[in-house]
Amino acid sequence: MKREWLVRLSERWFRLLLRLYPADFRDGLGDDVLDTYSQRARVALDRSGLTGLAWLWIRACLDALRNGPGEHLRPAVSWRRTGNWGRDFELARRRLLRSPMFVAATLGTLMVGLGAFAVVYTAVDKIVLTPMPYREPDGLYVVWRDQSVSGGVARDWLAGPDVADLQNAHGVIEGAAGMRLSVPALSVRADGEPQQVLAMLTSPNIFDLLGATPIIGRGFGAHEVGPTRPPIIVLNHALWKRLGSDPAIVGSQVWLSGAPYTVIGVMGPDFRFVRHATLGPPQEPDLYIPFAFHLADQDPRDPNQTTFAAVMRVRAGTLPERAAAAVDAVTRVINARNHQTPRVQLHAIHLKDDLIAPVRPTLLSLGLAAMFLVLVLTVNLASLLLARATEREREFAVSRALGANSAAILRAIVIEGGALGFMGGGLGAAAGWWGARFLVALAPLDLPRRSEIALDWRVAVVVIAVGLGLGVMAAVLPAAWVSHVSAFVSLRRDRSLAMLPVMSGIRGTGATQRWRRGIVVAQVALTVVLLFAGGLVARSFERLVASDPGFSPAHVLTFRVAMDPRLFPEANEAFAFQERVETALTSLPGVRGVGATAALPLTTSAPQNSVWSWQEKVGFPGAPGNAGDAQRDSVLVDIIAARAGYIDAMSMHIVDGQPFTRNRPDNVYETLIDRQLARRFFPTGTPIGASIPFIKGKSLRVVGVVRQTRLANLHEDGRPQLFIRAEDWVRNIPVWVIKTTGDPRALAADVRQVIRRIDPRIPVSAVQAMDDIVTDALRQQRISAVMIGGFAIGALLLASMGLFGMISGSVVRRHGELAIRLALGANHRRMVHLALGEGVVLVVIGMVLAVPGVYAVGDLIRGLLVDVSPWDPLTLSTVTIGLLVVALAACYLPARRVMRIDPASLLRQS
Amino acid sequence: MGTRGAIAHGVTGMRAAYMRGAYFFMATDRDRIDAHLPLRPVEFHILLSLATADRHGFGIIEDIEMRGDVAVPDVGTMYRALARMVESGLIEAAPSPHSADPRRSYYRIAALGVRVAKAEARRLDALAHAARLGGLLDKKKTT
Repeated sequence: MKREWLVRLSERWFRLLLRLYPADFRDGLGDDVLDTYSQRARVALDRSGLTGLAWLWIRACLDALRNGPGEHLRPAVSWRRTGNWGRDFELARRRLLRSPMFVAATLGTLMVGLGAFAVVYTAVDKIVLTPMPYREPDGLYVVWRDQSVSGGVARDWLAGPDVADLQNAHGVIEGAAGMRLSVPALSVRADGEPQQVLAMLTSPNIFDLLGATPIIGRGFGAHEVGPTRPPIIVLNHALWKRLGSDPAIVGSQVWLSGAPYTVIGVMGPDFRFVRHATLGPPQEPDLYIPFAFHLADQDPRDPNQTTFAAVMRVRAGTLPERAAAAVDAVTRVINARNHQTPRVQLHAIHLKDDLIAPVRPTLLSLGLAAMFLVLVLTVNLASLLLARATEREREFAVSRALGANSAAILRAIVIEGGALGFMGGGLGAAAGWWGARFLVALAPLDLPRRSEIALDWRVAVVVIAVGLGLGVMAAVLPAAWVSHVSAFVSLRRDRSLAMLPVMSGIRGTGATQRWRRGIVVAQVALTVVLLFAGGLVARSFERLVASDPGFSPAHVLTFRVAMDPRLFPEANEAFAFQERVETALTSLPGVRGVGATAALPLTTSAPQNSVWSWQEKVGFPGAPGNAGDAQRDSVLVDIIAARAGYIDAMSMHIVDGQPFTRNRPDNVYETLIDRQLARRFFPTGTPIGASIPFIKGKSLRVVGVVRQTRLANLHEDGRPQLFIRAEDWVRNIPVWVIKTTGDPRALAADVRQVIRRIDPRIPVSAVQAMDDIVTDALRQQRISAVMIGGFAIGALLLASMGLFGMISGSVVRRHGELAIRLALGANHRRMVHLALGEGVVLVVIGMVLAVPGVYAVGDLIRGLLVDVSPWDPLTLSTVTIGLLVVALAACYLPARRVMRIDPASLLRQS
Repeated sequence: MGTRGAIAHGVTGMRAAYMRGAYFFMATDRDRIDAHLPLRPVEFHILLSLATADRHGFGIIEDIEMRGDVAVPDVGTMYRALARMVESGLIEAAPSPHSADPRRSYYRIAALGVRVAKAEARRLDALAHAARLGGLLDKKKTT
């Protein structure tokens, strides 16, 4: 009958729900609960039919969901069989409170390890894993010109016509946009105080390409480019906030270097386009202006106009190979057009890969180091828990004799480990949050998406879960082993039963000792690898710091003075201004030297500084190093304009000849060349006096040879450099430097005053000490060195603690044996060596096992190292000797306890 | 005050005296009983149902339903409460009546359970009385 069938079905449902309750409850009351439910089901069916029955089913389900776990956690009664989860939690809590040292050691271990893991995971997640805030970022590529064949950089800028060809390409390339940066002075009012901003000149389709829309106003129209384009700009969110967050700014006018522009839109706070560069960090522009020219009209042969970056979008679903093929096709078009100049090679890199490429080695090494640390910590945790499990062997044996089964004991240990792991995970998440802030403070300014790096709840959850897992795992392995120890063997350790052969000491049987030994060996091996990596990175950093960048940054203050060309329409006015500034600065107290330049080292990147870099192809007609081929005898050099005092203010090294003379000689355009040029073109004889044809039909005369002032990297030279006198060539010199006797920063206010007194319309910006600039350039390496070094030292500490514990345990364990030996005539010193020997053997085994790891790590962090070979012998030997010393100390201290063994009293006891 | 008021006042006073007396006699047991108060609503209902007769699980539920105007407890909650109360001695297992299925377990209220139930009832009554005085409950219609 249908009714019976329904009732039986209900019974099946209720029986299933009963499984949520603990086994004891089911055994005792399960039948009654089922019986009652069936009766209720019958009544419900009779009274309210199917709806009533369905309602009962739902209520039964909710009831079981509430009461089943509830019964697990807080059982209604204490049943005779042991093993309720609730009780186990309570017991675990009491046990942990009784051993505060163990808890502190474990939680400390977990906090450090999981904190490191959290920080690195956050960084990797935010930088690498989180998608970029553009529409379908997988289809976006950055296109570079590869100049590495001719000695340039692999990611160099494009010429205007190259970008135009990309834009006109069909096929998979949907669209492309060109970009170039400039540094105008922005004023909100026509006569207002100007401020330096970073402007990006761009193709009008940039926002469509990236899939971003302004939150106020509109973007650029496709036709709004070229000489006839309207003067319009779009503001970045940060600049809009700085200007007061006024929505009415859209439609109003602002002035850029004196020319009026209309603001037509403001981007949202999530839009963050950084233009990446090979040299220097990514730059985030403050505003966007469409090109006032057509890209195709730019002269491709002028290196000073070849400064465009290009972003392209390919059709959705296009594979990277097809995108590369499309770019190759465009390359062929370009080379066909430029058949006179050397061939170019374009290549495209995914937008995200492009952005993180320079930091990838850092991230990788950090990730590795953190992983190692976590491994070391897991091993340490296991060792701690194993020691604890061993101590409680007796207790387990007794409870086993009283009826507890392996499952119950295992559960008790797992709950303890899991609770510790969970708490450790929580602490690790907290440590990670703090560590992430520390990382951001330490991190180089060019770390991609630096502002987004912060611990969020997802990472915290992962960390806590990892902690829980680690705790449970590190507890299970020794616990599973210990739970197999038979009661008989454990109880045999009782002294009163000493008539039976004593096979194991207080600290456990032979098997436990093997585990502990294995753990110590693993710790030592991991520590060696980590120390080695840390040593390499530290040495690399030290090399970097010690490298001579070609100038001395100590006591040097630098600042930008934006000489607006409209204010100095005549050349002699500009030069007169320069003279006035130099005189005024020299008269400041504490100033030892004043200079000015157009290209300050290491600052081609900082947003407020000039991105002006001047390159020319120069040759040395008549030089002994010429090969006779016009192409090969001219080289692309960086032209650096500098006032005479610059050489002295920056303490540059004159290798040959002399610096610029104080009084400008007439009709002689002095120049200084760097060592690369001297070596290449004058391998014999001297370059002094040589003549170089230059622009505007004039010639330069070489008066001296200098060491390069490294513009990009601290540790290696860049393009060859040619210094020319600013007084001859450059009216509007942007950067001034002064050498001081004391702290250069103290003169910052005075400097501003000086310029204001000479001409209040000229803005002064980017006042910084050269030392700070150099320090900033080292940030990436510094952070790697600090973090990996920190991890390595932490691992060393942990390994030492492991060794210490093991040896001291071994000494206690072998008390009897050592006492007997002493009684038989051995001396104490030999006994100490005996105890030591165990530890030393383990250390050596660990170091031998570490060798393949050292090889692997050396390979992996090669990209991070500067001037240091991955298998640097000095580092290797230092690490080995250091570890041996520390390990020996860690072994010796507990071994000294052997000295205190009194054989007579011990033998009396047993 | 009228006659009614006087009688009510007198009744209140007598009640207070009775309570004081009752508490005096129950002093020795007071701690044991107080330990069980306040009772969970489920427990109170169970004691109420068992006060009148020995019942099994479903019988208790039926009885609670009949009282009307109360939410019937879920079976799981009720059986946990039954187990708890058996352990604390408020109720005990009873032999099933002859006419019923011998497999079903019946429950019977224990002496301590009776006392605890009464104490709880008095506690609730005192609270209700205070609520009436405070105006939260309608005054009882004195019949």
